[in-house]
Amino acid sequence: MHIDARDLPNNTVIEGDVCIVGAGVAGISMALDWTKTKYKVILLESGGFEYDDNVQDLYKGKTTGQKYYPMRSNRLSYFGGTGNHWAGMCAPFDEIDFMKRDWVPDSGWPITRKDLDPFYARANEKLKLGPYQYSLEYWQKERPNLNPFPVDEKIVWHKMWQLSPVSGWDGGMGKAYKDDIVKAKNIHLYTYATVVDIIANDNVSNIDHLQVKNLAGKTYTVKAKHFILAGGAIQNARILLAANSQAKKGLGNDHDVVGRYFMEHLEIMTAELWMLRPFPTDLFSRGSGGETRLWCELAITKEVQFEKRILNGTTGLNRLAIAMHVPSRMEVWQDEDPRKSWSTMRKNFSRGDSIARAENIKGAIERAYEFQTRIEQAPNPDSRVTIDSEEDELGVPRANLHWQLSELDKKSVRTINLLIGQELARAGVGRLRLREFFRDENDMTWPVGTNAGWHHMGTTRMGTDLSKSVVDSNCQIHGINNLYVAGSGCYVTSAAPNPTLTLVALSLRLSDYVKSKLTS
Amino acid sequence: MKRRHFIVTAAAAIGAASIPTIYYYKQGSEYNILLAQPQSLSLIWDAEAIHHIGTQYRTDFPGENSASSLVNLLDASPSVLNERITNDFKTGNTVLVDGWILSVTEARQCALASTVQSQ
Repeated sequence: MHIDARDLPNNTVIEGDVCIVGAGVAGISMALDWTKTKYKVILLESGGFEYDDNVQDLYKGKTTGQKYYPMRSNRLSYFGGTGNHWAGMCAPFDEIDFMKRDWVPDSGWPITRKDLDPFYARANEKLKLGPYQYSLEYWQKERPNLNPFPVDEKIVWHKMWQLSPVSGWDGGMGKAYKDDIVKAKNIHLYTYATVVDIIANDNVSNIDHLQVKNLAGKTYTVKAKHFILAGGAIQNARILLAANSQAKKGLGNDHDVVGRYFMEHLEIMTAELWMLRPFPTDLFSRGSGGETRLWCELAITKEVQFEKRILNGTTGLNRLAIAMHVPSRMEVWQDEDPRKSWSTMRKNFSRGDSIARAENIKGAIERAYEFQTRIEQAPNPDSRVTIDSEEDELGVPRANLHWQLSELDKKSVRTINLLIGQELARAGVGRLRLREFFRDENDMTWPVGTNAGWHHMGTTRMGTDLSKSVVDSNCQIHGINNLYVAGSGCYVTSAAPNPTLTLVALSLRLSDYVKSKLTS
Repeated sequence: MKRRHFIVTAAAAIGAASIPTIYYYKQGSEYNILLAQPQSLSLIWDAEAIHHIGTQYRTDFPGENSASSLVNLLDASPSVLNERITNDFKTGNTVLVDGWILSVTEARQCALASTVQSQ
């Protein structure tokens, strides 16, 4: 059922078994998982069902360090959350992503890919994807034209993605699941309900209630047995840091880790691939026909990553004739209004296509491609979310972001491109030309327009070492029995693929854990 | 190097590959002219682009800035060069010239071509 909190009397007390804070991809996925249970679930959403400029204002903040998208427009605050801008790309993390790698500082998850596999399968269903199959071999049997490059698979492999039909382009999770959530009798969705404080018991081992407000000037109390923060990696860190009336440094922050290790995916135009001859394949075409839309990128094997001591990353192909006319998204997504930034970005995509058509250049460029490298960022404690002295309209300190990259990030992008370039040349596919800022192996700087994926990860990272993590392997905050974090903030490392599939899988795993605690 | 230099038609590329074997004499070196014709690269570049890359290579490696030294380093019949280029990529015997990841062998071919054209 749906309740517009603005219509509730001031000081209403709302009670349930479980409270999920945030109706984005993680929050909606979890709520759906509880619809057929006997438990009363309170789902709190800061905004309404549509974009609201005043609510979006609550996201204002400052950015420092590597140039980033404005804080006000790099997330969305309404039902469906930032998923309403999601491109729909899904692929599971690789086995190596969960491993401790001695050349990647603070790497190593307390869980493995195998632990997550059953939840990935369930996440596939929530995101309305095809079968939980991500191997090229599987999809080649389904579709005959997915011809891979003849590369040495001990060095380079073809990593498959599926494209979700509940992406932002199609209305997002909000549109896909609004009816299911509203019709579910045990799911109580409160819109215009923004959490402004978390109140614990005296020794801060249990959460007692949440304080909730809205711009209508009303305040509410939410009581539950379990509380799950699902507001995104920036907002979750912000609310934990701001909840400092009982814990001086903020909840779960005894060791000053909350907000640290903020990670993004670098999504950068790194090189041009000039193919010697036409290579007939549908493998690298977005969608690739058929009911399940596919996408493929070139990746480096685990063994070579170990040998070269690099991060995990992949490269995708876009037609150069178009891509050369499309500016970096970091350059065009700078409006504080997310709708305007979105519109500008889309216009730039269309513009690139129009220019390419008008130029109609013939020759080798017809078989030339821009390489977009998608890569994890090494965990970095100095890349972080903090809270500001300035407060938003509801009295919550604003979030600031200092995004910082490292030398390992740059070395890895360069090495991945060199390896793939060498292998494609050896296989007779073509020649690769590196973009200027990757040519000097001693240059560790990053261009101002370095692109990121709007993927916010790592501010409440998972771990067993209390001095370097915020949540345990079940996503429960260390030392607090009934407070959890859902989403990509729990990532220890960020892998190469887009975070959505994994954050849904992790949220469903957390959902099972909370259910088991309730039944016991 | 300008992008227009890579825009070469397939016909031109085939033409370049079918030049009959002749021997070229320069600076005291006699060599098969096919040594100065990188076959694969001619599928994506025109002669001007190959000359540009070759000139850049000779600037980056001044010790190889003569036809005689390049002929000595190539030291092979043109018929085995493709195999050697493949092996270069396999073993990482590559060089970055103007951003291009090239086999050292084919980069030297470009360099040799640039000495011919600059005569």
